[in-house]
Amino acid sequence: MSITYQQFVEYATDLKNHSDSIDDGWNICQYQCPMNGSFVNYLVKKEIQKRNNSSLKSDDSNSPNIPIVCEYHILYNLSYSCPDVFFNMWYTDGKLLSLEHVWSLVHSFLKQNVINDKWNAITQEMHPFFSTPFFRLHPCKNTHVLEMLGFSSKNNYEFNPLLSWLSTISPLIGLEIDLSYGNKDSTKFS
Amino acid sequence: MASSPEIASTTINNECSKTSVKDETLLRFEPLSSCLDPNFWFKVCQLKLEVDKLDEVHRPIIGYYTSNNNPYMSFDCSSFNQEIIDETSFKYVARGYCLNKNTIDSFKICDKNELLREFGERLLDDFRSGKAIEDPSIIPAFDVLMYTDLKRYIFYYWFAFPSFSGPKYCLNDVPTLLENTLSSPQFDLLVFGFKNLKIDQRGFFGVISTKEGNLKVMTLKEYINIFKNNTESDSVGYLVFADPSDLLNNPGWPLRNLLYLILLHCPSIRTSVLKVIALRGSPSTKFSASMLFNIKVSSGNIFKQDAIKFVGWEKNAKGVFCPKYVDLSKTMDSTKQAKESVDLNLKLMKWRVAPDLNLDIVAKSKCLIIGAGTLGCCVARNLMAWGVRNITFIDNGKVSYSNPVRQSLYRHSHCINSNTYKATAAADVLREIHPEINSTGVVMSIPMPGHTANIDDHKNVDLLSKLIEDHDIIFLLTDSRESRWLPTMLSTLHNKLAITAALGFESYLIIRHGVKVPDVSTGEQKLGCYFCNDVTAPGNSLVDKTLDQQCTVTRPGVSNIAGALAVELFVSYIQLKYNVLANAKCCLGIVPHSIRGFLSDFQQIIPFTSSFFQCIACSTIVIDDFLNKKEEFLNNVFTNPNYLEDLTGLTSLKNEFENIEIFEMNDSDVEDSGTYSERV
Repeated sequence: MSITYQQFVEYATDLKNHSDSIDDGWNICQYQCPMNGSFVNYLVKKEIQKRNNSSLKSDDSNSPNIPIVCEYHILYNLSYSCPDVFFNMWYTDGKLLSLEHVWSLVHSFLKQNVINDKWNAITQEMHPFFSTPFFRLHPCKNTHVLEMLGFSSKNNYEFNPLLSWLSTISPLIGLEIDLSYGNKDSTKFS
Repeated sequence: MASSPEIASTTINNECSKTSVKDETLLRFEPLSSCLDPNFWFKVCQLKLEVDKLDEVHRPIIGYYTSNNNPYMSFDCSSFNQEIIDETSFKYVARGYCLNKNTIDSFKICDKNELLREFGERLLDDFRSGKAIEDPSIIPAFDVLMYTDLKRYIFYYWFAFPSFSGPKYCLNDVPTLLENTLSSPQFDLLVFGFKNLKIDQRGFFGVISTKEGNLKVMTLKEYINIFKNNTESDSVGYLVFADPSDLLNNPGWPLRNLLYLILLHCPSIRTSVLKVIALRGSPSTKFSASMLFNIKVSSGNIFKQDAIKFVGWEKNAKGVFCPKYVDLSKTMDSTKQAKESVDLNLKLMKWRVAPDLNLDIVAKSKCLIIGAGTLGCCVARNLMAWGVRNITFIDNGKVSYSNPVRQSLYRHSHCINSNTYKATAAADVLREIHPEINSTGVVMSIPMPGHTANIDDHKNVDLLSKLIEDHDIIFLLTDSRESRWLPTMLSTLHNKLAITAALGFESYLIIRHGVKVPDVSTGEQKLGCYFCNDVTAPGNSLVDKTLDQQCTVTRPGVSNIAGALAVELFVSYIQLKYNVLANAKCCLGIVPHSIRGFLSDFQQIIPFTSSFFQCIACSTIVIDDFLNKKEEFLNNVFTNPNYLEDLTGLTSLKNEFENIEIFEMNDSDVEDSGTYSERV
């Protein structure tokens, strides 16, 4: 299922509102396009993952408890008509994690799939707004994921598709989604 | 908010082992750690290289922290701005200083205790003067000592969050959740008041309860004033600070400095109990995780102001008081790193030797190299070393077996099957040497006067004209005199700087052609071009010549000297914006008009000449004739060897000469003859 930019903003706002109520740290930022001066909204979350108890934890428990700063951007991708996630991870001394390291951090239950098909899953590329290197989960499967989750353009649905998608892909990118997102009072989306 | 007590209770279980509340008396503060964004280092490099250079200044910077369970102070590239851009986000501001040392030795050797005392004394001065009360963002002070290895992208740094080692504080009772003390409407008033504070006042402020039971938020300054006038032994209201701590029963580091500031300014409460609210969470959740601490100065620890000691160096990842080290070279793209490193070497010139050197204008210049032979290769390499990004070659030859040893851009592989054009090979090799170069090779022959084969070559004339128009500087490096004529004329037409380098067996000439004098009334004269000193038009010099007369037979070093001098002349020239007189002064020294050197006695002179009004390449007559009747003019030039001499009046001049009696001249006459030459 593809979504429009207006729908994306609506879902993002819903996500942000719940985030505010539990201090989850999601914010909506605006980027002004230098070509035509128009504004584009996107979701941002930046957090310091202090302990190795998140979904980032991989099989090796020997790795020391070094805090990692994670920054997530969820943009709207016009070409694929779907959400598009960019993320970056670095140590507190400012050193970025390498792509190989990010691959190794994928949750163990998805790890094998990612290793088999690395370049179609997570790659490092330029952030479209800031022209700095970010990691990106390739968006080509996102509309497919949404369909598999039962969303289609025809139906009305009770859940925020953005949230369902994000919680599906979150183990790939070391993002933790609080369970309360699942049982919050849902708004009807159309 | 049904979920928050749960969160709190689980946190208690988790944190029990870590907190030190079990000895019931002493209050310990959770230290802050530094958290750097990758772009922080980028900015550090830029500032050191381009602004600070050799200065070791205490540069003010801004750190940010939150009250969301994060005992970190964050820094990014915006930390070096002095205005706070992001007013809307709920981050708290801390102001401190960054000291970037020049050498790794001075970083290592400097006395860290002394340095910390220096940091602390400055903080104490701000506390005593009341500056910290006006601007509470200097209370959570920090300093960072660093050394940046700009060549290898290695950084050594050590953060300090200076604080006072005494007095000691203890808890009056077990800290409680603020929810147990304040009602929900009171929380609302707290959040409301908080949001109305300016961003740099939000880290530390005060709250008093009014008679109606309402809460009133006020700035730290207002609160301290109330405190000072208060004669009762108990404290009024609450002192509030944004708490970055992630330990339930331990407040974060900023409180330590705040308590000291309060005790310093309000001596009356040194014996009473202070009620302190540690703001935790964010305004959107109404700071529901906030804690209430009742704190007093530990007995036996009287507040002393003499012999103050300071603490606060950050521990490294292993928990040792030691500088941190980060190597960013591996995270960088190799082509970008090459570009940065090339620029680094150039920018370092500005540190001491030539502070006024304008590197941007050099880098931006578009250079056209006509002739990709020995001189062309040498010029291109030197331009690249100066950071020039745009280089175009013009040449019609192919790389031959004799070339690679003298022509530094070619390899043996280019010669095999005699298939590779010099212009394209040179452009490719430049990109191989430095991927950030924008280089192009144009395979074309330069139309030459007296070469009748050029008669239909007007297309190449137009192409050359276009290329010259599109570039800023033209290097004329071909090996025959006649091939320099058309580019010289076209450079004059488009008013572009042209530099000629020409070689003899053991001599060389580098000359920058004169450009238009913008203001004739100053009496300045246009400088001459390569042809101005000659009274014969170029003809076909390859007719009836033996092989050793056709090829440039030179001592191999001559071309390297001449090529390098041509580039240095260009760099010096371009430092000056306007019409550059002969031997004008720039930040690198003088800018000569021409350089002649002789390897037989290793001498070099820098003569200058004005332009010649009858010059066959740069005079107005020639340019006008080209503009007015281009086709006819070109046909005449290419077919009739005497056309240019007739046009400029040189023929009649020569005829006059023959009618003049020849006098012998002695040496003193030569010096007066208009050409001034200087021995270097």
